[in-house]
Amino acid sequence: MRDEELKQVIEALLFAATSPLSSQKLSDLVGGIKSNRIGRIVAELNTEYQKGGRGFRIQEIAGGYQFYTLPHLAPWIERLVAEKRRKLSRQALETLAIIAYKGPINRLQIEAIRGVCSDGVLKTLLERGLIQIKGREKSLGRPFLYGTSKAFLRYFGLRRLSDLPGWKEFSDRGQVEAKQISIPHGHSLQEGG
Amino acid sequence: MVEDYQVKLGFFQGPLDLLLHLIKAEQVEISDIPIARITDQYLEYIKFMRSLNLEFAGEFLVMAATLLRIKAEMLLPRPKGDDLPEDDPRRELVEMLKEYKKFKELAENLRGLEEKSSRLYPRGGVSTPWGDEPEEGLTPFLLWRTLREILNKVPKTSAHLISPEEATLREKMDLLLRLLEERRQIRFTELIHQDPRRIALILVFVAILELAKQKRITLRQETPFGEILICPFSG
Repeated sequence: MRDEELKQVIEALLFAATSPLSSQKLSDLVGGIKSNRIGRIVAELNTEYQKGGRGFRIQEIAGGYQFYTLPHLAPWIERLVAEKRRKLSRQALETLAIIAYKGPINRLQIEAIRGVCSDGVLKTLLERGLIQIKGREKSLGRPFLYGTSKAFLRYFGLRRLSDLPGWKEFSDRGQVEAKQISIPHGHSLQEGG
Repeated sequence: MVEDYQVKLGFFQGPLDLLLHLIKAEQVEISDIPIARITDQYLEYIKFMRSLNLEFAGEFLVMAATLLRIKAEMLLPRPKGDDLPEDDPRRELVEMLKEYKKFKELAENLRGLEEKSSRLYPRGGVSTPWGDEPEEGLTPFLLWRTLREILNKVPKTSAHLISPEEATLREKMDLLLRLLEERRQIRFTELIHQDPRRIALILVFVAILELAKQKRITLRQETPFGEILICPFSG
């Protein structure tokens, strides 16, 4: 498929979809296109939106592409939304930070770092779907291991966990780091244009 | 949220948070805590909270005991050195504080990301139930659930406030019919905002049920669990 045609198809698919589409999904839909080509097409579309002064861009969040409104337009969207989003409490963020950077991790390890009981906050984070039980440790008592979820990535507007600031310092923990895919940065959300 | 009910000592998330605050206020390095001074301040703070009859988590007392133990151990003679030798009694605490501080800072980063991403709205992420042609299929159960959700959101009026509640069922039924004469449909939440008193909410709710029973209004809902729409009766 030629670039111009592919651009239209991808734009139409993203426009019609109500949920994010991964590059894998897009690739399947258009017949096996490489993910970096999709990334490039998306970047081109975003450049066009910027040049044309549009109020939205295509964002890649939690491994999926989706149209998002520009940040400076938020006050207008808020008029449409019945309720403003609630912010997470400090202890929720603290616990999330530990789980995101050190997960999968059990409750006792979290409490050792925070120095306080974390039962309640873990329950809340589970209820909100920001963390998940990833399994159980093989040690005594077989404690649950907690990790972050896709909803976590969406909530913080991240493409993947390794996009977290300072992730590199933590990645030499012997963990397999997600393969870095270079994505053109032309499609990052910039105001105006 | 559950966590909001957890007992916290002032603004502090835990003993480590309090210690970091004291250390920062003293403008000293974590790796070289003036343990006697910090311990005194820590105990003073706890005493102060106690005097206010504020409860606090047991972890604060455990830390107080730890601090006192370290303070005592520091009095014993030991070799001098620039960095913390293996047998420095503060060593373990310092490691904990450093680790905690790291995540406290990462949590602040997350706050920044939260702020940034809260201003991005995905396409279709905002439901607009007042769009055209809602579907029918509303059950009394859903109506009841909606009411319960709304009542939960309404702040309970303070206990000493006693005033006659001036609202009647008739009034609310009239209001509904009057609004419907002006418009094709009313949103349920819209009615709630007009008069958020508990008694008014209950009366509006009963009025809706009564009018529906009398076949004078029709209730619709665009999506499951979506907003309830009140329309003039239509067969």
